[in-house]
Amino acid sequence: MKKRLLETLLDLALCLGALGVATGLAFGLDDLGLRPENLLLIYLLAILAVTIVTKRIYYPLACSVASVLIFNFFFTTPRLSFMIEDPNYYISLAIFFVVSAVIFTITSLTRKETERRRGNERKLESLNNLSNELLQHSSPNDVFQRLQSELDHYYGGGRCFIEKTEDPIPFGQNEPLSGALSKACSFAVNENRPVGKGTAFYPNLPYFLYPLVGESKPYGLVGISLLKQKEMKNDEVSFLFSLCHIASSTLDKNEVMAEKERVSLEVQNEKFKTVLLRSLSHDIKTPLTALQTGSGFLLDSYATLDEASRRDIISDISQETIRLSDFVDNLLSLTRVTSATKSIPMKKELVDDLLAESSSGFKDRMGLHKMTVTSPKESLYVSCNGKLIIQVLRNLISNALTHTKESALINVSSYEKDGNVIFLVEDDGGGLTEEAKRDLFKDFSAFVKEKSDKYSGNGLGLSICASIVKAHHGTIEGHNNDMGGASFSFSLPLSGVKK
Amino acid sequence: MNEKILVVEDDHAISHFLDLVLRSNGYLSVISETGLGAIKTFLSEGPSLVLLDLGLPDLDGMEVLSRMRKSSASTPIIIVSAREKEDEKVAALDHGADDYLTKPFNTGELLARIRVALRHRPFPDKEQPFIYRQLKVDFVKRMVFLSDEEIHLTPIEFKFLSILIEQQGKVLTHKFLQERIWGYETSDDYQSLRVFMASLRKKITPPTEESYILTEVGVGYRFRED
Repeated sequence: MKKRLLETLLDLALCLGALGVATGLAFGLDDLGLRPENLLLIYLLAILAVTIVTKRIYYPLACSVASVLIFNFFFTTPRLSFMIEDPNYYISLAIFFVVSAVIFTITSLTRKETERRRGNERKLESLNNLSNELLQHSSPNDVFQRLQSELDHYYGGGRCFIEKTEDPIPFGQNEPLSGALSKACSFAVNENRPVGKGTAFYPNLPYFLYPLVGESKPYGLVGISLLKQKEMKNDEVSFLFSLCHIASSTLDKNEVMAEKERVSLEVQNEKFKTVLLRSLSHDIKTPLTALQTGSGFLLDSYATLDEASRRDIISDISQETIRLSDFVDNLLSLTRVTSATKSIPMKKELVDDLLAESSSGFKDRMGLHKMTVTSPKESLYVSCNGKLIIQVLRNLISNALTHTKESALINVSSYEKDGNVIFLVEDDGGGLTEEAKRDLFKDFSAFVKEKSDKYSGNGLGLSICASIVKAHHGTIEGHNNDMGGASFSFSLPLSGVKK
Repeated sequence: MNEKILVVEDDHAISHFLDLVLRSNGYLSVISETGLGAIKTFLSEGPSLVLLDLGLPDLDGMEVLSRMRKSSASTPIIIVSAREKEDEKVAALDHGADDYLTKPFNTGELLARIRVALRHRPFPDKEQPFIYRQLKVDFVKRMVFLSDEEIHLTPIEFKFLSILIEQQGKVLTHKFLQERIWGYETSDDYQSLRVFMASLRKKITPPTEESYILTEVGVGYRFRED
């Protein structure tokens, strides 16, 4: 309000100033003896200036009336009166009016044209900016947000909303759309046409709806409220068209890229699966062969075999089933770790409990091996998936039993160190070869890929241990120790102590 | 008289094998391959024990379990299942199953569990000392010996040990133990219970042997039985 008053005052001052300067100049020239008709031209100049500088139509109009009156008063005989002696002046004044009107009209037309062009340039520039920006960073959400801010900028905040097809809750406004509006929206999207006031469809709706439809699918629509306004102007519609076109082609591009990525991931997964399945069936077939031949042989030649051979075969079969069963346990753990899209379920477990369960049940496999289990002095807790951590420990113990010489000593222990709980399985049974060291804990997928053809299943257990420990944000390592054997240890973050 | 065992198992090979094992060990066996059939047999024949697979073609095994429990509170039911998630084990045990055996299992284990479940309580006779390998517990004097040396247990540890021995061979869930010892549930993941148990286990494990108390992380504890 204040600003407008100031503008009006400024314009008024300009008018008065222009008239004053013109009158002063006229007096000067009059003194030099110039003919009064020429003085009229000076006023014309003043009116031209006022027309260019001020914005409203009344200022130049008022100025031309004032000019006529001033000229009449000061410069026509009889001077200092509004009387006119010479009828020629009537004609001069009439021409003056006409000329000033023409000047005014032409100037304002030019000005309007310039403004329109400037507006178009601005729109063009912002379209350009928008498309550049969207090409660079553009998750669908970005696109919708940029579009919304662009709409708010040109058509006024609060008047525009975007409806997304994927999103049942209106994006731009909190209340659900009213029945007619929502029907019109789906019509616009389904038919891919502008709908609402000023179009052939739903012309009574106080909105203008423009669909956002891409090559492959509809993304939603843009709506502009026309409650307090007549229909959209042509250039507004074409600007909206361009905005929507840019937005929907960016969304199209996104869609294509996402699809590409999905396909390539699928291909990769498919490849991995094939290799994995091949290696796994190999791993299953080996013990299965032993089972099949052993039991078949026993069935066919039971009567001819002596007691000791029968026992041997049966004990082999029994060993192989244990091997197969361990293998399946490992596989299950692997699926638990790798298929967990969310993190694996964890609970606070007592370290004593974990050690107790993982070290039990090896009695039949011990032979001449000796095993000691040392639990920590305090009651330590770790957050973990108990089943999986037990699987790690059992794999390590089982490896130690398989890969060490007879009568080797195996120590299983656990202790706290710098806020972590260390689990340690060590033996004095010969240690690791250089090749074994290199392949320890290799990531399972890498392992499968590398060894796809000559994969033998050794190392599956350890790489599963590595995956499990990694999924617990812990670390695992293996090296040769000074007892003349191998040490494997992993650490998990401590989550509580009870002395 | 031979004890009759109802085997609820939909896999032919396994049910045939179980039938063979049970009969050659002096039990009578009845096989049922569906949940509904099993419930019918359970009601009409009144078996002494049930081996129940949780994965059945018609009904969920848990449903079968709860229906059997409704009609007989005392018939032992042992779950034999390939489902090995701790929560499912605990759920079955807390809903009235007496024991839980995960497939694959060996027959020795199965027969031991059956023996434990069929043994008629009360046991042990608290007048007599309980002896298991190097462990000797005198309930009357409340004294515990390991390799003939007296070991000192706190009252709560002694209570734990008594409950475990009473139900020797049977897995006891955290929840069950918590309620037996303290009489109320806790929300601390049974932390105190586990600490008491760890300390008891340490005290009564001889240095040269595997622990007498078997731990099943996430489920509970079991006193070893040979």
